[in-house]
Amino acid sequence: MLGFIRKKNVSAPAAPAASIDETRIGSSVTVNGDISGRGDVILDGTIKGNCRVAGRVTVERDGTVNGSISGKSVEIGGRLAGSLEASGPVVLTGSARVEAEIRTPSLAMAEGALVNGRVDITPSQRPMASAGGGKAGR
Amino acid sequence: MENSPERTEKTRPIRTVISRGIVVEGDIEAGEDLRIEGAVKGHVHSTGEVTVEPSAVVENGIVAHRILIRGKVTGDVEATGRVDIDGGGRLHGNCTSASIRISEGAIFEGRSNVRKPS
Repeated sequence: MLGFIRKKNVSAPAAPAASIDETRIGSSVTVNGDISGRGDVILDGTIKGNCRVAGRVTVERDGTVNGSISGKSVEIGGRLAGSLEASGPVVLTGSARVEAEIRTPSLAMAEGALVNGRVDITPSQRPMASAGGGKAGR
Repeated sequence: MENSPERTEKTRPIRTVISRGIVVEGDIEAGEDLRIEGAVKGHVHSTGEVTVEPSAVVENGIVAHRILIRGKVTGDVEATGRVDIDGGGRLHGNCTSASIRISEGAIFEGRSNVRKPS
């Protein structure tokens, strides 16, 4: 990679260059509408709408979503008012403030996370069948 | 006593990037630079510099300090500073700016109004 070392600004190192599939929304940015598509989303700003992507969604401490989030895996350290659905794991860090229904096969919540909403942790996605059984039935 | 502003973690520079695979259906308002590689079906408003990369499409115009168009922009653009339309860039709409630079190969269909910054 480029080996430029600039000592002009002694600030925290700029976040590494986003990979092709990584969308970053800075803290001063507000999206009034929906975000969808492939790739990951890292949110420090505000989305007044839905965020439905194929990849990973990370809502940082300053991030806010007023709407639904859908992704392969989701980590929330900021605010969510709406709903959350993930095909993979969901992690709520200690600064998470969630007012939403959560649906995921796996949920981890750190101490300090605030959650108000129905939580539905179901190991695998399958149509509503009779309860029980570890087999991945159809 | 002098207090020099300190960079805290909150003010670390984060470049806002709308990546190639993403579609934004709605408007974006930003107090910082934006790099757009995907599609924005809406309006973009920034106090900084907006770069529309070759893979990008912005449908409803842009208002910013500076605008660099390498992709496709439909709708009017307005900049307090300069607007650049690069060789692969396309602007279908009017442009109001303090200055404009149009590279060879650029497509510009609209009216240019260059005025001195107030």
